[in-house]
Amino acid sequence: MSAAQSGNGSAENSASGSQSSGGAGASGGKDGKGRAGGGNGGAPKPPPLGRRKTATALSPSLAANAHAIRMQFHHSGDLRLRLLSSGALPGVQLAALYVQGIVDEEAIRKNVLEPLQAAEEAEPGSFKGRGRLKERIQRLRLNVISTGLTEPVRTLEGALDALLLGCCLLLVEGSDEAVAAEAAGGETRPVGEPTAQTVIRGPQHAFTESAQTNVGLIRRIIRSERLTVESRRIGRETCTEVSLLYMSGIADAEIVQEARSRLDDIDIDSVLDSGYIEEFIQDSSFTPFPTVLNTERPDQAAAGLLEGHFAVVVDGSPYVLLGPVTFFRFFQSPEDHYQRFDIASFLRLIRIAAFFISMHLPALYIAITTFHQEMLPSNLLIGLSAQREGVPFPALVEAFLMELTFEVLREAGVRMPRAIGPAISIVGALVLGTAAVQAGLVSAAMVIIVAFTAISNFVVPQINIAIAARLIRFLLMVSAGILGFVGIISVDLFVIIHLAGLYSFGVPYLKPVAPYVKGEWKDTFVRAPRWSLVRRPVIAQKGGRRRQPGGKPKRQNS
Amino acid sequence: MSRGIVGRWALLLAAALLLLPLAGCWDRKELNELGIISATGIDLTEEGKWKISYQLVIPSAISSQNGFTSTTESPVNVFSTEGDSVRGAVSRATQEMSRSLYFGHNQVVVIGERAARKGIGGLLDVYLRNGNSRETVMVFVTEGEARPILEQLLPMERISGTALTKLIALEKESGGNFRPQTVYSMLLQLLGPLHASAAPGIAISGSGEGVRNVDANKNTSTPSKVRLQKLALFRDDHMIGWIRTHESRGLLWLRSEVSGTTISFPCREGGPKVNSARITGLKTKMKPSRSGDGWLLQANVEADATLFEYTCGGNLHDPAAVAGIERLLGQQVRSDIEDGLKASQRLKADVAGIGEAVRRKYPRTWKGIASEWNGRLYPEMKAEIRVDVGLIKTGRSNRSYEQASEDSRERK
Repeated sequence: MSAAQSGNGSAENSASGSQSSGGAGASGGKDGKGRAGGGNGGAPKPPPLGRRKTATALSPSLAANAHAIRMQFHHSGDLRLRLLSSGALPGVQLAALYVQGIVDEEAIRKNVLEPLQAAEEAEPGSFKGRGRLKERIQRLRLNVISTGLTEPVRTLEGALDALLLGCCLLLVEGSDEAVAAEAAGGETRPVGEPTAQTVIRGPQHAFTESAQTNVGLIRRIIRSERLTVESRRIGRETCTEVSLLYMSGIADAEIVQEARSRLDDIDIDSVLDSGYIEEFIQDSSFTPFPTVLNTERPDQAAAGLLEGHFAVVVDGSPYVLLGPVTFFRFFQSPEDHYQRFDIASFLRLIRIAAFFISMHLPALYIAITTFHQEMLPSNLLIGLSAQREGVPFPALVEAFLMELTFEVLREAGVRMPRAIGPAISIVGALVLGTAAVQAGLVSAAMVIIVAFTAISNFVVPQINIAIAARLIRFLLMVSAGILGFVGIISVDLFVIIHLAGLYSFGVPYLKPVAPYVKGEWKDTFVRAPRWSLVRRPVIAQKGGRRRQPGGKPKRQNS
Repeated sequence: MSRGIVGRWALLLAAALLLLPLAGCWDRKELNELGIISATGIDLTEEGKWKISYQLVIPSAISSQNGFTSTTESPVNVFSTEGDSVRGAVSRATQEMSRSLYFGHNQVVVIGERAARKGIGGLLDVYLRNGNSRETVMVFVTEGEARPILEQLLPMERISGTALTKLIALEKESGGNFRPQTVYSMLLQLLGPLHASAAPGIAISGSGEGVRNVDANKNTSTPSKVRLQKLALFRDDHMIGWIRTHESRGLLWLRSEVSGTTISFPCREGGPKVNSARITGLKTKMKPSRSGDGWLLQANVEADATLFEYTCGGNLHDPAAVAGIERLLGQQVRSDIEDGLKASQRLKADVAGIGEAVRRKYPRTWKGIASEWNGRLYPEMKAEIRVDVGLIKTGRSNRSYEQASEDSRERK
């Protein structure tokens, strides 16, 4: 039944696709929107590629069709064709086509080839007679082939799309209609533990590269029909499945519409990671501050959805995007809500402090030691002064030297084969730290400053906001080296003004601090006890903000 | 938006560049370009020139580098420059110093007696006028020259300038004879209604040479030490004389500026002072009033005492015995206060701030008498000091040791 419906959808889609003369990439998206608007719940899954402008009808000749498909694939080696015959259609030549690697060959054998071949003995009589070929093919599709979805395909383009989506295409001699049987498969990574966004307490699932798995992981947390999944394909060549997820009734409809239209406007040739999508849908590109959050944790994505964010799941990327996000959202770890509120609040304050340390510490050191020596206690001044005896560079150059060294080390650490990692750590720690001090290149205090800055940078749970601090740090260092505190403050003012002007999908970036939102501070700098967080953040839809009845839980024995 | 991205960035850059001339403090100085001064000495030479001495910190000799502290290198270096004015002398330092002198961490200024008597107005002006030297610098006055004080090394301390501040802070906390005097509070007092101030005296005591060599610290005792003694009184901007240590203590008591001090007292009046007690929580109420032509100061002093050492007989369970001790303590405190008052009256400098109490009580009258207060009215002022010491603790034993041994003999 679903097969019939999806077949309709597909036909409809390919028809409208052929009419649409606009951007090929966008056309599929528009279809998606139209479907959602029409309330036709049976959106096919996976969504059609929808990028073809033309529609060439299949010819009745099997050989001609096979040849045309092979030509389109430029005789690629991974396009497999298997000729067979079936008792269901006696005397008619059949051919099964599929693209190796993206299909589950075992499933094709079990669900397509074997039933077809077995049909000969099982029901010899039922297909005899002189029924019209089309009808007989439909019977074949509905009764014999036992894969999840089967669709009739009438155009060459439809056949190509079906093959590329991982279907097994069954061509029938004498018929201009082929049958696509869903058999998507191939090697995927199993669901594993998060590698970049780890928590001590809390779910240990992480997204994988498969969009279906990822959506499923979220759906398994939010078992609600309000969780809406809108899929579309983006990328002229890659045709990557991109799904927009939101909780209808909780997420602000305007924000969702904005996200939808931004996704629809994307017209690129490829989407290899959610980062591609992020760059297209974020509000402003020329800022070090991210306005879209990414997560590899289904629980964090689910929490975001329940707070009124939308999520974008991109096939092939284990990082799911969340938006709209504000500045302070980046300092929240999923763990904040799993641990008790007191330690969660403390850690959150530590994180915010660490963010500012990682941004300012080298600059403060430069400013204080070269402009404002009065600020240091006498003994510390003498100590620092003794360390600096014989250091040939100004503090600014020294700081740059060490910061760049660390950045190089850090980059090397990411790039490095795992086997030689420890060796490089030793080089980094011993040679660049101790030896640089002993060689008189840098002062020992600077090593401490750089090390602490680096450590602080890793405290922030979201790497992309830590990157902002990393970049601004250098600007601050230069201005501190030129103007001391005046320089630091002027850069800070620039940053604050810049932050105040940022928006994420229409939500002010510094919300709830500027503009001030009453009641929202319960989950900004600190995390209030769970039962007191009655309302969702203001980004959620009006009227949909009540999370729970609220109030302190009553105890019987107190 | 309409200007486009390039335009916006150009605007941002222009704004950033405009910030540069806004900043007035283009005075970047690397730490190793600084000559950190920990103490300054002011002297007046025979020819009437200012001679400024500097105690320059040698950081590498002080701070432990690579885990060990150099003990062979002198931690400080003292040198002097001369000039017709204070800053004039300082400016000559560039002729003999490779590093720019940095007074931000100067903690002590030692004034030679001759310079102090000549007048410290120029020095105070330098502190008021310039931002690079702090007014929280502590002032000491020394008999003779200031430079030897700076050259003196103190045991356990690497930087003697810093050590002097610790010395006087501890003295204020526990000794109670002197209190730190900063340039700032000195300015307040000298520019206040009384025009009188005081600064603790410092001297090198001991027989031998000054300790100027780090090798001297290899011995268990040093031939000479820096020592706080006497109080220099200032009127207007010059020094007028010295008063003795216990007189200084008396004046501090009058000003309720003692947090704790230990005094000795006799068993009976006129006897040897074999007992000691610690005075804490001292509070003085000064009540000046007219008496005939002159003025009368009525001062009520209240204090708590803790018995430290008691060798007389008698049972301290007996309230009468305790009252006797309290009386003797009171007498001791009163005699110190009276001595201090007399000494400052002799020098015609109201450093205890009694004139301030007069001014508050009789603001109208004060206007007429302000000019002759230090000169005539204060020296002629009579004082009635009432001291009320309460013994709050006798320690963990009641009887003295002698008493206890006598009692044990009786019991046998």
